[in-house]
Amino acid sequence: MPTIQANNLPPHGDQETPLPVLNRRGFLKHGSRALGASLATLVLCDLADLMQFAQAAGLTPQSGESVLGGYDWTKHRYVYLIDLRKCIGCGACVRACAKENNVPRNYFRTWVERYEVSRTGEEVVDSTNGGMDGFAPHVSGNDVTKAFFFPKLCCHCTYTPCVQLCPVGASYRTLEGVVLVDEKRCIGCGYCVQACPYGSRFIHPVTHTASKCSLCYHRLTRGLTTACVQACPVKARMLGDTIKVGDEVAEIIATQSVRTLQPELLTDPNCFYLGLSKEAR
Amino acid sequence: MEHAKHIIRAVLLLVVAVVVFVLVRHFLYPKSFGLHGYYRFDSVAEYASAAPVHGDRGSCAACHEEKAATLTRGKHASVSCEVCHAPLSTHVQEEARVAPMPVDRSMQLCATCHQKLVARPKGFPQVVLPDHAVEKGAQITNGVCQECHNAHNPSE
Amino acid sequence: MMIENDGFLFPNDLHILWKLMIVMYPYVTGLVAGAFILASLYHVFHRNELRPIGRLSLVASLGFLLAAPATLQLHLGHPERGFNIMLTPNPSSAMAMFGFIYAAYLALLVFEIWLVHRVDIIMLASRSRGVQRWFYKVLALGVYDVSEEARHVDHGVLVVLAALGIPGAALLHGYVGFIFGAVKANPWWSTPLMPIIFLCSAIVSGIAMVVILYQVGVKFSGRRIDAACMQSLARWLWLFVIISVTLELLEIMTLAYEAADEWQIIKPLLVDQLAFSFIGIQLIFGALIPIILLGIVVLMSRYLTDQIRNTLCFVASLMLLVQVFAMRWNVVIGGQIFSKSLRGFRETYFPGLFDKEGIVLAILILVFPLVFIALFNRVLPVFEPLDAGNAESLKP
Ligand code: HEC
Ligand code: HEC
Ligand code: HEC
Ligand code: HEC
Repeated sequence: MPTIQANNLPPHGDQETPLPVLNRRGFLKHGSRALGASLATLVLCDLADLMQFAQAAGLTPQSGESVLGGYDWTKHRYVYLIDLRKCIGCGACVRACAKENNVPRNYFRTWVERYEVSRTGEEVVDSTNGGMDGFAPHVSGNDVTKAFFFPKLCCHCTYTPCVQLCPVGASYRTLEGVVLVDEKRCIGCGYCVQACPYGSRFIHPVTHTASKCSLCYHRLTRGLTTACVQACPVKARMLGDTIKVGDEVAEIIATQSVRTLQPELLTDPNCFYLGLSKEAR
Repeated sequence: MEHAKHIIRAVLLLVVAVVVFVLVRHFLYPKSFGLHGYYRFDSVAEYASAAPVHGDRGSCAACHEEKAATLTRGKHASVSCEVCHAPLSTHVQEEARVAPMPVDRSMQLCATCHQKLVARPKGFPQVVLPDHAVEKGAQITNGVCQECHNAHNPSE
Repeated sequence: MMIENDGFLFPNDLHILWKLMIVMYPYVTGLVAGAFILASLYHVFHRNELRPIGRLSLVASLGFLLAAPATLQLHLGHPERGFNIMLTPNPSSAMAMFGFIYAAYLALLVFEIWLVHRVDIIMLASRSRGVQRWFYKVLALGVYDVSEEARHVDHGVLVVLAALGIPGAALLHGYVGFIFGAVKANPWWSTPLMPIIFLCSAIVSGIAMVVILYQVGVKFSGRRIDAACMQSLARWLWLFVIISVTLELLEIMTLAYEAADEWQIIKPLLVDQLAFSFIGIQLIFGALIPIILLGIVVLMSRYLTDQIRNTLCFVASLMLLVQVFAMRWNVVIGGQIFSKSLRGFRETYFPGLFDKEGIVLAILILVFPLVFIALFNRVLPVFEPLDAGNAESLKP
């Protein structure tokens, strides 16, 4: 070890000394060795993960049947259709959803809004308790010329901002197009809630993780329809499957004038509306 | 480079930190993550394994054949039993009745669907409640609607 | 589209989700980035008049950097899973990069501070005994080379690091702006200007914080405030406030002039809901007044005594710290006051005192860096390098 004589040190102001010329060769030699070693470790350790990705990006997704109890997720591609002209605003769907998925009070995986538009263009919108208890007659006093109920749920967008933004890969889209949240990995940052243009996500007050419509995934995999669709007394809510041949809902979406919510955001929702009026947002 | 010894040591320290991180990450990396995309595939299975709460549409008919038949005959055929009662799993589990099924005879139940509202489609049968029952000469009590309408087949 | 504001909110939108800690997060990382960029003016661009704050601003940057994760951890629903962000960072997520940018920046900053103080460390090792001596020897990583050549190497690496640190700081903070700017669902956030606005106001807050730390620190240690340094700080500060406020206004002018869909909700947001914190604090109290005060310092420097200059700078800096906080508040909270229905406003938000995201913890987070700097100063000098005069030789 060298012994240094501290009082031999040059004065401290480093700015007085001219810019030193680094011995480049040595720096490069040592530096690149260290860098190379660390990179090699990185790559080796993560090779396994990378392989998994390559597989995922591959063209033949596995059926996943073994895990999903005989249900083959490659054979479905779900779409949702809501006919606003039929909805009676009874809230049966909201109640059914809350019971089916144990949704906490005052939070909604699906909800119903009511729009009342008067001739002068006044728009009155309400959704008391998400429409869970149905709706009471309105006393807006307006000369209402157009009114409708407007059920909403997660649009299960194809280019979904919530999945894009999730920092930890806890939000994802399954092969069938269902957007889900991994409750065991979610860190509860709330970024996805901010990113959803439709307000269909929330932070669960008990689990403190993001929560949202799962399209009753546990029912779909058992061949049942979603709780909300089943509860609808007027068939305003319909679930379709574009892979299934001759699917009624897929046929409507393919042939009739359907709209999605906020199409300008290009999230490409898989929830379609029949009879959507311009006021609805 | 004899005068850059300290730099090399510092860089080595950094490399050690990176290696430790990579190793820790390797061991903590969740199983089944990335199998089908940037998520933990087991999560899908977890979703799929949740038990349904509601039965399917025909599930009540197995034990309440007669009620189901009445329902399908009438105008309420499109209304699921569980909407007016409660989900199947609260009443029946493993094919046996575990708890009584609630029976809501209140006007409120009918009102959620039949109260007259401007936003409802015009063709849907709606009445101003409770005026409708009063007009028809009934006293407003709990279960007033059932006096004239059978909930399972309202036109009967 | 005619929006009659009857206060309709989406039913899931009733509560503010990103609370005080998410206001604190860009604020604290802004201080980190700002202080660092200020330090780089000296270390990279050789603005020698800034020498008195060269070390202080680096150490302050580190202090705030160490405090920054606390804001996020306090916010998270599952802080124990916070590490997931480094385990499985989603490549398409703006937020996922936080862990890595943070770690890289921390390494860079520690490395740089270490280099700046290395000679002092060795000198202190030579002067102290026992445990203390060992402590400094470990800090020196067992290398006691303070030869001319070694210091050249130090300086070279330092310049490279500081130069790397500038894009690093810009990234660390610009990306915080990006987190907001990239939310297309929120018209008040979604603008490509956001990262730049964040960065400029970060520099403002960083310089303002260093002005205050410097003046207070110098008072405590019985030194004199360097007039040239203060004058230079005032000039930089003035420049960046003007840029920052101009950008903030430009963004709103664009929104107002385009008067698209979202202006229907942003207008009432600014003139009603945020009237106090936006117009009152962010624009008038926090920007207009400091711009005037600093303008006096910059333009009429000749006529000012040191005392007046210091006071003006101090007061303007305090106000600017408030301004930048208000700006963060108006972005983070303002963006959540209206529902995504664009038809109504949420309940007004005011942080609780003792909540997880409450005022007390927020103050503690801001106090931590100050304590850190004070403690650091006991271990290694943050104002002036050690006097090499009467040091003994170090026998390792
Ligand atoms: C429109 C709402 C509605 C629907 C749909 C409905 N119920 Fe009912 N149910 C009632 C009401 C109201 C009563 C109470 C009738 C009464 O007391 O007169 C009742 C009574 C009953 C009872 C008898 C309880 C008793 O105490 O006597 C049974 C059993 C029953 N329902 C089963 C069913 C089944 C099975 C279905 C589906 C096939 C069904 N209900 C669908 C509203 C409904
Ligand atoms: C496993 C057979 C079974 C199934 C399936 C079943 N029930 Fe029942 N239910 C019973 C039995 C047993 C009783 C009690 C006998 C009685 O009172 O008639 C009962 C009673 C009822 C009653 C009267 C109140 C009570 O609990 O005593 C209602 C209402 C009822 N069931 C509704 C339903 C509905 C709605 C469904 C479908 C969601 C359903 N049940 C499915 C077996 C079943
Ligand atoms: C979940 C919604 C729902 C509930 C609850 C409900 N109904 Fe109905 N009701 C309907 C539907 C749907 C129809 C069929 C409408 C049609 O044919 O267009 C209907 C039809 C009727 C009709 C027949 C109207 C006609 O045109 O003949 C009567 C009467 C009626 N309901 C009474 C009741 C009564 C009484 C109750 C309370 C026990 C009740 N409903 C509860 C949905 C409901
Ligand atoms: C005193 C007997 C009586 C009572 C009580 C009664 N209704 Fe009716 N309701 C009728 C008769 C009769 C009709 C068919 C004639 C008509 O359309 O006015 C009818 C028709 C209806 C219709 C169909 C209206 C349409 O436009 O087709 C609905 C819906 C209805 N009732 C709901 C209810 C509800 C809900 C209650 C409970 C508050 C109730 N009723 C109570 C006698 C009654």
